[in-house]
Amino acid sequence: MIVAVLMGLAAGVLSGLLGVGGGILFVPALTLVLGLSQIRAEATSLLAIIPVALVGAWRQQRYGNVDLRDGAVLGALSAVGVGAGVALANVLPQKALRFGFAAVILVVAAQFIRRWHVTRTARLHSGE
Amino acid sequence: MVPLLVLWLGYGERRATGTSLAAIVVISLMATLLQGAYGNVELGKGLLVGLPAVAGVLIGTTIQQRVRTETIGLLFGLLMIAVAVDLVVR
Repeated sequence: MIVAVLMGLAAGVLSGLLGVGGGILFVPALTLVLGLSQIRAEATSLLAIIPVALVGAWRQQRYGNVDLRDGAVLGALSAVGVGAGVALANVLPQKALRFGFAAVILVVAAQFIRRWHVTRTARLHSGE
Repeated sequence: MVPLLVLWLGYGERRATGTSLAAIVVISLMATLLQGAYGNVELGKGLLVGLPAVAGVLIGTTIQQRVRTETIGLLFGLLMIAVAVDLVVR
């Protein structure tokens, strides 16, 4: 139980630091530590994300880091996207979905790391 | 959400993560209601991990204000790699 609490705490830190929901740690905490099935863990993880995102967004709002209008639009669009995603998931084989998604986010990861490299190099050259 | 905001809409990393959290409030609320209707949500266990996470998010947002923007991007990239590995080896 302490492990689950600590994983929850870590999920929150990750959420605040990187703007994600924290499901990447909630789901394993719920399956591996608390013994839920995958489906119930994913559903329960969504519940855990609500207060985290709410408090995180509130804090970031106070720091001036939230565009509320864009956030609301994105949230609503994602709700539509969920419907499309479920339909797609039912058509495509599981393995193809996982590998395809992994490839997409690796491309995204490469772009973030390239940005980091470019910005860092520029900063070092400017002598800051 | 964050990649969309940063790579396509030209947001800075900090503003992207803040706005992403606002969007996640909407999504998680709707998705929880939907999953709740199917009886898949366990309130007690959700709170057991969710409440410490609220303390965590206070820590995370505070740290984030003190970290360079580019470092947030780097950490995000590393998180994406971890997720990709998890998807492939699962």
